Amino acid sequence: MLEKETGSIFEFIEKNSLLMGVSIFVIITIGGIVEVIPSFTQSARPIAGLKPYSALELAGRQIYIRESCNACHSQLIRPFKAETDRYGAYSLSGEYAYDRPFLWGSRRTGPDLHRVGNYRTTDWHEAHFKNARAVSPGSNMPNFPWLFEDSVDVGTVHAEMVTVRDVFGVPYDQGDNPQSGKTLEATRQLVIEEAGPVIEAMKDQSVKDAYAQGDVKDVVALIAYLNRMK
Amino acid sequence: MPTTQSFTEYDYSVAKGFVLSALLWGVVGMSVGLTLAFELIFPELNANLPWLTFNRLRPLHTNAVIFGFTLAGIFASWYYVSQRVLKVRMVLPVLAKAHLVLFNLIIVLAAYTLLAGHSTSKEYHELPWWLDVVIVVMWLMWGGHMFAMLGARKEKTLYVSLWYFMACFLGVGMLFLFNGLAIPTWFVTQTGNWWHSVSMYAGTNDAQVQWWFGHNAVAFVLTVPIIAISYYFIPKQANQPVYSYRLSLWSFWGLIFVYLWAGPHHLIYSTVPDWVQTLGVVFSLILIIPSWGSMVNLLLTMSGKWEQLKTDPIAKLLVIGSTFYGFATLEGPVQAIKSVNAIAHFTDWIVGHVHNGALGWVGFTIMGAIYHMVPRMYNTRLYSVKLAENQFWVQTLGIVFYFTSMWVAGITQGSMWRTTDQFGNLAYSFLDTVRAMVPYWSLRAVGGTLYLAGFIMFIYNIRMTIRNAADFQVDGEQSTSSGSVQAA
Amino acid sequence: MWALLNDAATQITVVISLVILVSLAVLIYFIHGRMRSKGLSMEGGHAFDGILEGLNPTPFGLHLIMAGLVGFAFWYVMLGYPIWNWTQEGQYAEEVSVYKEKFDANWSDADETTLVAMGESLFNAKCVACHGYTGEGQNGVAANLVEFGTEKHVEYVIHNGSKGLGYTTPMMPPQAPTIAAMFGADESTLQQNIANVSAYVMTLSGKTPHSGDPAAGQSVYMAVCMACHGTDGKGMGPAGNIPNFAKDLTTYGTSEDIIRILKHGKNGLIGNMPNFAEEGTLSEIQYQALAAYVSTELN
Ligand code: HEC
Ligand code: HEC
Ligand code: HEC
Ligand code: HEM
Ligand code: HEM
Ligand SMILES: [Ca+2]
Ligand SMILES: [Ca+2]
Ligand SMILES: [Cu+2]
Repeated sequence: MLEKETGSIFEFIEKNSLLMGVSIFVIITIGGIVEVIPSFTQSARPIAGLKPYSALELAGRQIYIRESCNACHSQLIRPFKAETDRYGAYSLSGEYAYDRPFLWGSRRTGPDLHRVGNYRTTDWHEAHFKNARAVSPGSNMPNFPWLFEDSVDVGTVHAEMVTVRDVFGVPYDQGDNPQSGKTLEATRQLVIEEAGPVIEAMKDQSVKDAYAQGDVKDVVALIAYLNRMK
Repeated sequence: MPTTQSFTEYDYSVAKGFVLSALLWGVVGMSVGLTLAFELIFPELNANLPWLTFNRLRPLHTNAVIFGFTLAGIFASWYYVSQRVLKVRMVLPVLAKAHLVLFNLIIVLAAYTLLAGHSTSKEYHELPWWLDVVIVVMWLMWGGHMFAMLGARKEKTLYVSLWYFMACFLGVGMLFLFNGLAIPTWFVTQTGNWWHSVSMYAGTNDAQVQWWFGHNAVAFVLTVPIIAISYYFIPKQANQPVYSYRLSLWSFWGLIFVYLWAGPHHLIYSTVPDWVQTLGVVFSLILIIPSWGSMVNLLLTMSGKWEQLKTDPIAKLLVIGSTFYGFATLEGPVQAIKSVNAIAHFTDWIVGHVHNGALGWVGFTIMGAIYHMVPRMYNTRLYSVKLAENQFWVQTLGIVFYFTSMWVAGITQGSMWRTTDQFGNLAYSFLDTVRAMVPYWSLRAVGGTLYLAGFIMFIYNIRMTIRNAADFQVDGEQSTSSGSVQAA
Repeated sequence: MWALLNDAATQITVVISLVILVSLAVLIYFIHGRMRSKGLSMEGGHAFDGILEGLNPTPFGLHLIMAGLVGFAFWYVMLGYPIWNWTQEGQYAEEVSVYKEKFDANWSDADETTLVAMGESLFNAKCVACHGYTGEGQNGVAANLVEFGTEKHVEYVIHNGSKGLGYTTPMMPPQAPTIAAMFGADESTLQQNIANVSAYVMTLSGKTPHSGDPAAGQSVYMAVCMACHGTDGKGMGPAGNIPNFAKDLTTYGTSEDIIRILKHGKNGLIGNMPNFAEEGTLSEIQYQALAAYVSTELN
């Protein structure tokens, strides 16, 4: 058996709780400072042609988050031929510049969705959300019937759009970028306007009837979001 | 053996409360986990109700087991161990009790918000901003109590367990705060849901902050404080010295330094810079050293104690718990290697790795600690050693089912996604790879059922121990100390 | 199942999994030995709540592992994935070019049977989500490809019309009413006429009809369909001089036709078929393979 050294620096720290706390804190900050902070100077730049989420797409994104679709779906195509063959071009950092939060996910119970807009269509999504197993036999994706009943929460969409525009400088209303609603009512009009073409490609009569009354259902927004994923 | 202060001088009221919380949130969280396991095989189980879908239940499971069960186990151990190694009765009991109450309130609110879909989607940080604020308050209550205890201590030198508890407090505090930074949209616009917020970071930056947090949430909730628990309860249960102070020192400082660098292994082949990923991989490998340092130190503390292991299920839980720690900390670094991660990422192999740590290491260690604490806090003896023994075997079998099935499932699915036919075209549709998982998911569900059954046996054993406390008062330390635990 | 092992990453993964199991077994063996044999000396440093801190040295084995790991880490950063010149994009570009070279060497002039086999596996990975494994369209989710390219589908189009293929004429209205008006409305006559004109359409693309009388169908065609598809069926309008006016029926159901559909997509009456040119994952030969499979095997 060895003797425990006395008078070592460690013994000193172990007798002084405040020093212990400070030492721990200093040590645990180093990794983050070296690895995380440098990237903040580079990666937030949008790639050319990237547009902010339109009102309806943003509504869909909020529904995606509410339902935690990211529990089963990734939005990150890794640079392997097997992935680019299945899902399309690998993902680039600049494509995520308007993603708050990012939605890469960490488990692919279902397929990646980063470019799903290229190979799935409105009517397919509609059938799939109603009854996943009718379109995909053996799928374990839940059915989402309530998406056909609940209406888009325009207030929260408006709030988020204005926040990212004013606080983070997301370039709404510039060039041919989507518009941000100047008022809540304006955002509602944007949502209704964008919903038209999506609903046209849908089959559900109750969604169409609701739309005729100026009411946009959640499923419409979610599909608009998925269709944008290209 | 040097005399210790008698238990009567300590105030265990809050530790007892946290033990009960751990039992409650453990059974809730694991039942939800089991529901998830079955929903993957039988998706109709959700009855087409939003609150029962896999997607809403999954974050509830992770939050309930990590922040409900695990944190409650950690706090219970803290309120028990800190008094004994600092040689001071619990200070600020009102603060500590408020901590207990607020903690449980938070978990209830967390369950509600997650089921209602008020999620931020950031893994292990799903709760809405206002609840984050409440959590920070709760955390500071714990930290306040911690430093008050340290200030009042009669034992000058800090025992290893305390180093780890302090690291837990500081680490989680820092990580949670930075990852949670967000702007509540209602305050900007006065419209929409008041609980909604947008992250301060976007895209790749957000991912980096998230996994700097996420990986270290594993470090500072599922590892560091669990080591704290082991460092107290293993030597205590075995009535042996900790194997090596030098190894404790090495492992502790090594662990808390290296852990913070390993986060990018969650982002391999993503859009974060290559050099960051490579550093993450390399530090994940180096992480084996301090991790195995702790495991070896804890296991060698049992040197010469083979006979006790045969008869004492509490020692078994603690020792096998540390062995699973060794397993998970070898498996993790391997999964971090780029070419392995290319297969493992996004698959069930990760889920298997998680549960090696969660069920084997975290679960077993916390249950071992509770088994050790409860008879002492209630001044009685364990209701049934036999039951604990059976529980141990049922749960061990459960874990074996869980990780073997997930291991094979993950590698199979990861490879199927890449498999090509003779022409170099993808050989399987995604759905083919989903259907191929059903046998493995079924085995996992069997494993989960066994583990949960064991947990219910555990709860029953603890409940009966507490209930019989009135009838079986025993003389403090003596009759409940290691090895002599007997069935009532 | 064993085919999965043909992949380098899978092999590494399997080997490393075995390494985990073996190292764990070795470690457990070592610790088990210690637990069975010598106990710890109960002398030691300071005692905390009765727990002594042992003063044993750190085990030699751990130093060895550390040396090994640090060595591996250096290898990884310097040679395996050199931090200054390895990029994942570069690795991807190489993976793709190696694949292309191999593919071109083996399959660039594949024969029909090879194309059909290739098409089948592509179909199973890319198209079954909508058309189903049998190609029948999963009860109306997508087009029935077993019927597409046969008289059955032509009859279906005559009854229902068609839209979304991107011709100057945005849609073909249902033609059954016209045929009924011109050639007799009673059920069996109409059926017969539709069957006949469908048979005639088959002959336009050089196929042999299974039913119906093409010669009889010709007169119906000239009276009704010619207005858009032209006398020769090339889809250039009544005078045969407006390119892209309506669908070219001389290629109907052929590889050429299917490739055009794949590259254009179809916002049709059943639903929307994605545009694979935009989706961008298929190479020219893969288009040909899919077309070969859909136009032969599935019909
Ligand atoms: C329990 C896991 C699970 C959940 C939760 C889930 N999915 Fe899926 N998803 C799947 C699986 C498995 C598939 C593949 C089989 C299929 O097509 O259904 C899939 C397929 C899809 C597809 C088709 C993609 C393709 O390439 O075929 C889309 C789009 C989709 N899901 C969207 C969503 C959205 C949006 C949500 C949340 C509202 C969601 N999913 C929730 C498991 C899930
Ligand atoms: C008003 C003009 C018009 C007339 C009359 C017409 N067609 Fe067409 N036809 C079209 C157009 C335009 C298309 C392409 C439709 C599309 O975009 O899907 C088409 C497509 C078709 C197709 C291919 C559908 C597919 O799914 O690929 C067939 C077969 C066909 N026509 C047969 C006929 C027959 C037989 C008749 C007469 C009985 C007829 N058409 C009369 C305009 C016409
Ligand atoms: C997202 C769903 C979807 C996918 C994926 C899909 N299709 Fe389709 N496809 C459709 C739908 C819907 C139609 C019917 C369009 C209509 O006529 O309304 C269709 C029609 C077709 C047609 C007939 C078009 C016509 O003129 O009538 C062909 C041929 C076809 N698909 C081939 C394929 C092949 C080959 C693939 C795979 C490479 C594929 N499709 C993938 C949805 C899909
Ligand atoms: C040396 C120590 C460890 C290393 C290097 C390590 C490494 C890893 C890696 C590479 C992943 C997978 C990332 C991915 O591809 O998605 C992962 C996931 C995970 N690990 Fe570990 N691991 C270690 C120890 C542990 C321990 C002890 C636990 C305790 C429970 C744990 C819990 C988790 C969890 C919860 C995840 C899932 C994260 C997610 O949601 O994606 N790990 N770990
Ligand atoms: C009866 C016991 C348990 C069962 C049956 C169970 C089951 C599950 C299931 C089915 C999932 C989802 C996996 C997927 O998405 O494919 C999961 C995820 C998870 N569980 Fe458990 N679980 C149990 C106990 C625990 C415990 C005790 C902990 C922690 C202390 C835990 C931590 C986690 C974590 C962190 C995840 C997320 C993993 C990831 O994202 O990679 N589980 N569990
Ligand atoms: Ca995860
Ligand atoms: Ca949060
Ligand atoms: Cu990690």
